[in-house]
Amino acid sequence: MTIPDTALHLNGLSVAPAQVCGGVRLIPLIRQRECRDVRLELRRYREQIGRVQLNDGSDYWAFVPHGLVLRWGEGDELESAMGSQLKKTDGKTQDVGWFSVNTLHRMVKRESKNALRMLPLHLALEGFLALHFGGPKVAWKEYSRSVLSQGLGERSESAVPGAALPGFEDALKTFEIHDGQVGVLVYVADKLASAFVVPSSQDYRALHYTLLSDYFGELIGRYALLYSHSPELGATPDTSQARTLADLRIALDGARQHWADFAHTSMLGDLVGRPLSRQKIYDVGGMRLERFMTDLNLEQTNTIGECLTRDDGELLYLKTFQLSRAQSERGWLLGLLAAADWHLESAAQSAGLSVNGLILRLDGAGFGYLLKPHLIEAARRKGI
Amino acid sequence: MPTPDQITREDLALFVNACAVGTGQKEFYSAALEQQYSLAFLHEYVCGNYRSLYAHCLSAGINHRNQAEIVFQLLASGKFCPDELRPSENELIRLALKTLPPQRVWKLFERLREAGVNNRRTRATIRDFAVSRKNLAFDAVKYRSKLRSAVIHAHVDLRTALPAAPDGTRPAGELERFLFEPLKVSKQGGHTPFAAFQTPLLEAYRSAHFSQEALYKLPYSVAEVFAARHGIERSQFLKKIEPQMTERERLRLQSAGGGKVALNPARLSLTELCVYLLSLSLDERFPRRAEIEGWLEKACGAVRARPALSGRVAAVLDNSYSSGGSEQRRGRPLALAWAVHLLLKAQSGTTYQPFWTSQVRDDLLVHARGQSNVTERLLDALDWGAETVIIVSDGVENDPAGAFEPVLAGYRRLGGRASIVHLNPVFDAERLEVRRLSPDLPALGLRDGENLAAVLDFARFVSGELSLEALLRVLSPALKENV
Repeated sequence: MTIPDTALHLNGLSVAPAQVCGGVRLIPLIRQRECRDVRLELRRYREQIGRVQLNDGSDYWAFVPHGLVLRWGEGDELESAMGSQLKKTDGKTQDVGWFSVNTLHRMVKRESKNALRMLPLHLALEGFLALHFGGPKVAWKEYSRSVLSQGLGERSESAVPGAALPGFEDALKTFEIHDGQVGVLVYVADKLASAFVVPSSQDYRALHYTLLSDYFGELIGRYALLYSHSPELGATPDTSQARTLADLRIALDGARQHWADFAHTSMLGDLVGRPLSRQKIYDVGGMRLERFMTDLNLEQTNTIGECLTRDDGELLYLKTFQLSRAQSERGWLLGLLAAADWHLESAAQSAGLSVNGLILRLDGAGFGYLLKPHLIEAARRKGI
Repeated sequence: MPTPDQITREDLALFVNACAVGTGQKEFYSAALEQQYSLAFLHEYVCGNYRSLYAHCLSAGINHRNQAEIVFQLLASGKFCPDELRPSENELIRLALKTLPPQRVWKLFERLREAGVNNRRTRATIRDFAVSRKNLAFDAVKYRSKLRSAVIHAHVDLRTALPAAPDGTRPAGELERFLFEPLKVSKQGGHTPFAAFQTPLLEAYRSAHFSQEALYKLPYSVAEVFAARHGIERSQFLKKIEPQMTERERLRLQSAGGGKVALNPARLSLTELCVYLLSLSLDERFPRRAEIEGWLEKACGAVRARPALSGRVAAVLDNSYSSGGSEQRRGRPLALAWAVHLLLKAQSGTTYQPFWTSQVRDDLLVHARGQSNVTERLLDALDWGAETVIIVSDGVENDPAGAFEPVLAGYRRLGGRASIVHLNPVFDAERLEVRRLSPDLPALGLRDGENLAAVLDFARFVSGELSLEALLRVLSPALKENV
């Protein structure tokens, strides 16, 4: 199901100098070759809560303020059709009085021959939540009965909405969108909060403010609260060797290039070049929609996300979410158990932990309900 | 270590620049309150340390808001004024009040009352201003509560201040009645003076309480209240009140008035015209090209003071997204850049070339868009062979940030001689000054396009070419004539 190790590349995109506002740094991404055949369109949902019926019969509940509709065509064919489509209602609305629920069918749904509706970021988060959702396949005696019969049952994660990040709205408002800009890297206190790329620059202009209704990792929320200032990272041209006006221009371009390299290598260290586990969601019109997750290395920041790439490797769409340490640990623990066929002792051994230690960590991460209660009590009594 | 003269020069330059552009309103990068605090600090600081210069700033081409603030500070701190400065200070205050729009002045007087400033000079100032008004009855109708509070505060005796009109249209004592007589409750629910007035405007005010026809004789802002009280439909009201509107009221109502209010843009000043045109969408501007170009040409022609420039002149004009200004000052920075561009284009005896940060193919369709790549455009201008480069920008560059300083230093090191001036239409509240692109290049606050020549004169003072005394002489020509 997962494709082994393919790192993310920002193919077809170049990095422009950052714009800083308070603690938020926004780095524009520019598409090198204009994209004319693929568009991404915003679809707003008025309901506060979205319920997504997944293929396997499970339900995904979340705050879903908007979806994206991907349309593609050949050559310029799409340009003329854009915006002229009749919009039908998406999903079924249920009004409960003090809130309303929109029930949507599938995370990604083919709406017509060349249109695909998807729920941004939820696609990635659903993948993370469904990680090893089936639970143990062998009926080890340590696990509670409900887990053996129903799997993990219910998983939830929380996140911070963009509008709740102090200073983020101002940063978006005062950001000057470049011509040809199709994406942005959002840094809060110089920690990568999210990467967002869309196919064309018109799409980006329309979707710029939707970053406010996207959600961000818990750590990002805390950083935004704590750090109200990001330093101007020097992208200053070195003009000391310049002998002519042309040299000054070369120095200016050099500074831009230097910045782009720096941003690409140093500032994206948490994302680009990391081994990813990818999962293909959809294959359409020479493009591939995937969701991905970094290797859940607890020493580093881990990211989940979704991307759309052309067969030639050009990145058309990207959206990422930074997992908090606790979220990473939950993913890591489940991965650890699954790798050891849910056998506690061998799992503990492979991670260099005692069985009690593993039980306590599972309990601490909120997975206590997987195990029989007396095991946890015993582990607490004995300690690590 | 800087000499006292240098410090004075820098402080004064900073203050005058801030006062030219700081309006206490929201800007693209800063909130209204931040700016109000910054400006308040600057005023107190300069008033405390350089009192004489502070007073002279009144005639230094600063904006109305800051002129009123200076008058307030001077009157409020009258006891610190040395005796020898008193006459010139009084004269400066008198001249400033004469040129300020009346609503600013009456508001200032109200503020003096609220702050409890009631020294002899303040009272005399208020009285003299009230007496000097040609049509005090008009002010009384339009700014009734403010005028009333000023009259009470300064003990102005209206019987002597406002003698009866010789033709008998306004008998003595009517204005006191208008301002102070208790009102009776009219049937319509409003409060109306008891007896009729002979002054037509005062009588119109009285009868507007019960007559719909009378309210159309009142100034627009007053009539608006009565129209609401009588429940007159907005579109009908606007149509009938139109002759009473001032040019600025018409301008303000262009979009809100739903096309009901006619505007003659040919009567606007260049900057106002640019602001107005920027408020029109590109689709609205395009079909009216000939008309718009005519207005612009006329407005340019009306600007008498032309900068002393010659040779190859380039303008680096910031039309990045931030030049769109804020909700309160929509499009102002871009309008100023446009006005400067138009003035330079109309300037004779120079070869002129504009360099917009984001390319503008057609002058008419200028709009705020894209990033601020001022440095790149400066290099373009220098490549073109500019001898004078005038930069109009808010001083925030981001492609990349901080590139201007080393490039300018590099250019000077190469022996580049072009004279480079940075005009900034925006006050940076955080730094208490108009933002510089480079520490080596002082920025000059640009209040409006028509001011271009004066600002370039001031640049000579900032760069040290002009002495303080010479500047004072430049600043107060009006004073010399009158003292």
